[in-house]
Amino acid sequence: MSPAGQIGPHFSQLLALGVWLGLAYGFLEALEFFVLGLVPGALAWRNGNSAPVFLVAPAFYAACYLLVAVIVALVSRLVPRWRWDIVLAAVLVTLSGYLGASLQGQIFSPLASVILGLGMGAVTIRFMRGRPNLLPKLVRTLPWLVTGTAAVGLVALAAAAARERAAFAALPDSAPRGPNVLLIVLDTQRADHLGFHGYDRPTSPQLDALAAQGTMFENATSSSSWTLPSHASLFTGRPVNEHRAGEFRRPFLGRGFVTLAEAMAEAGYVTAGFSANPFWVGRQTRINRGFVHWEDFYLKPGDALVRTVLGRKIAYELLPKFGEIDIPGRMRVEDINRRFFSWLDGSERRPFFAFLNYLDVHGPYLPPPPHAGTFGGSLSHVGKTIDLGAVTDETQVPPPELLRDWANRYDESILSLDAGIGDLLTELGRRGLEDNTVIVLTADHGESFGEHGMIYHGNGLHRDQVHVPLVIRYSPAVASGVRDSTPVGIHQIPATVMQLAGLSTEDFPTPSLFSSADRETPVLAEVGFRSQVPASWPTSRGWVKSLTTARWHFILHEEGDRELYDLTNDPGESINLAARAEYADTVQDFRTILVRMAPSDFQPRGR
Amino acid sequence: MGLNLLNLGLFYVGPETLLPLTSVLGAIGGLLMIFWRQVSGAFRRVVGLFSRRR
Ligand SMILES: [Zn+2]
Repeated sequence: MSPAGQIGPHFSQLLALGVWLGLAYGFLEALEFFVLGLVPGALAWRNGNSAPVFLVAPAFYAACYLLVAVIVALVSRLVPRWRWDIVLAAVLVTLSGYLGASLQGQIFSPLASVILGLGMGAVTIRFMRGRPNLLPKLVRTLPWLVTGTAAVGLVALAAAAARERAAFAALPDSAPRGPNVLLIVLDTQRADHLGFHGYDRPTSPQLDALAAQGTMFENATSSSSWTLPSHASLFTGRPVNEHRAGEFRRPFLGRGFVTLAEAMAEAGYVTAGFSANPFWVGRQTRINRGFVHWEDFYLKPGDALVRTVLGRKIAYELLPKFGEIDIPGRMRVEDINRRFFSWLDGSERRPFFAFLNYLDVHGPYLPPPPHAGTFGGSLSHVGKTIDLGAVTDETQVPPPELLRDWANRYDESILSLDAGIGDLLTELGRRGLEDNTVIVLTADHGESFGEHGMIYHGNGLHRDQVHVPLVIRYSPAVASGVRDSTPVGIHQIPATVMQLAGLSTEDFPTPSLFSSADRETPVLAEVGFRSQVPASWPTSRGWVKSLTTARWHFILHEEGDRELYDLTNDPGESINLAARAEYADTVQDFRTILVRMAPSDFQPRGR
Repeated sequence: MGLNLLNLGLFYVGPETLLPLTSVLGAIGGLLMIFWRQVSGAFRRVVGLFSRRR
C-alpha cells in the first residue's frame, strides 16, 4: 500500500486521526439529530434528543474512535510500512456512515445503512491514496476541531437556556391568583393493584392516604392503552380520534388543540414537566408543548449513552446480553422528585403548573431494594424476558408462573413508587404547599398479566389496560374522603384543572370531573392500528374502541368484532355477551354512540 | 426490527415502519460509491462508443 521506502504513520498520528474523526462525526450526528428534531415525527420514540448532544456526541465518539485508533496503532507495529492511516480512516468512516444512516431507523434499513457506510469507506480510501500529505495536515487542525466542537456545544446549551428564559419572559406579567397544580402520572399503573381500589395486597399505603384526603374516582378510564395517545388526551382534553397522536405514522402530538400547559402558561402559571419516560413523553413527540421548563433527557449517564447512535446500539443490543435489561438511565421516583424540587428551588415565586411522569412500575419490572421480594415468589425471574417470538402464536402466552412473578415484581415496584410519592407529599407539606396545591394523580394506562391472553399494554382495551386511578386532593375546594363511582375519563382533567384554578374552561370542551351536567355519557377509550406487533394482539388488525358505563364495557374492533361485558357481575371480563340475542339492542346502541363519538373512523378509507 | 427485545422488551411498540424506497435508493448510492471506478469507466466507454460513431 505504501510507496517503496516511505515509513507508515506514527503511533500518535493515528491516535490523533481517531480523535479527529470522532469529533467530526460526533458533531455531524448531533447536527443530524438537531435537524431531524425540527420535523415533527422525524425522530421516533427512541430517538429524542436535546442540546447536550452537541457536547456529548463529539466527546463520546472521540473517546470510542480513539479506542479503535489505539488498537489499529498497536496492530500497525506488525507491518509498519502500510498506510495504516488509510486503514483506520476507512474503518471509522465506514462505521460513521453506517451509524449516521441508521440514526433515524426508518429511512434506511440496516442493510442499506451498511452499504452506505461501505460506500463512504471506499470513497475515503480513494481520496486518501492520492494524498500522502493529508494526515499531518489533519493532525495539525485537531486543536481547532476540539475548540470548535466545544464552542458549538456550549453555544447549543446557552441557546437552550436562552430559549427557556424567553418562554418564561413571555408569561403574563401578573401572576395568577389560583393555586399551584401538580399533575402526577404513574405510567402503567393499573387501578386494581392499588390498596384504595380494594387490592388484597398492601401495595400503596401512601397513595391510599392521599386518596382518603381527596376525592377518588373509582371508575376512571384512560383515553388509550398506551403512553402517547393517553398523555395527548390528558393534555388536550380531546379523544384520540381528534388529536390522533400515536396513530399509525403519527408518533407526535399535532398543533391542532390547546394543551393544558399552554392554557396555564397563558394564565400566568410557570409550567414545568419532568418525564421519566423518554420514549413517548419526550420532546420528540411534541407532548411538551406549553411547558416553559421541560426535563426528559441527559438526566443520568445511562440516558446520555442512548442519546448517541453507537451508545444506543451498545445499550440496547450489547448490554442485555450481559443481563443489563433495565431501561438505560431509567429515572426512578426519587430522581424525578429531586429534579422537581431542585427546579422549584430555583424558580420564581409564582404559582406553578407542574407535571410529573413516574416510570417506576413500567416494565421491565425491576423493583429496587428494599421492596424487591416483598410479595414472594421467585426472584430468579427478575430481569428475565421471555422468548417474545412465542407471543406471536395465538395459542401461547407466557407460562403462569412467569406471569405471577412479573405481577409480584410489578406490585413491589408500586410499593417503591408509593414510598417515593409519600416523600414527595411530605416535602410539599414541609414547604407549606399542601393547602395551596391541587394534586391530580392518575395513570396513562394499565398493564396486562395474561388477561385475555395478553401482556404489556397498548394491544387492546380491556379494563386491565385502561382502568386507571384518579385522585384529586385540594382541601379548599375538593371534598375529602369521597369515592365517586361515576364513569369518568382522564381527558376530563384539563377542564377540571382550569376550573379548580378559577380559569376559563373554553379551550377544553370535555366537562370537568366536578361538573354536574351529564354523568351518564359512556367514557371513550381508543387505540389505533399498530404495525410490527404480534398477530394475536387486537391492534395488529386495526383500531379498537371501547365505551365504559357504570355497568357495561363495550369493545368494538375495526374489522367488526364486538365484545360486551357486564362489569357489575363480571369485572374480570370473562364472559363476552355481545353475541347473545338479548343484548343485541345494547350492542347496537353502543355502536351507534361510538359512530357519533368518532365519526371519522367509521368512514371507509385505505391504509 | 420485528419482535425483538428493543420493541417488546422495553414494552414500547411504536407505530414504526421502514420506508422501502429510501432504503433502495440508499443502497444504490452506497454501491455507486463502492464501484465508482467501474461505473464511471463503463459510463465513459458507452459515451466513447457513441461519440466515435458520430
Ligand atoms: Zn405509559
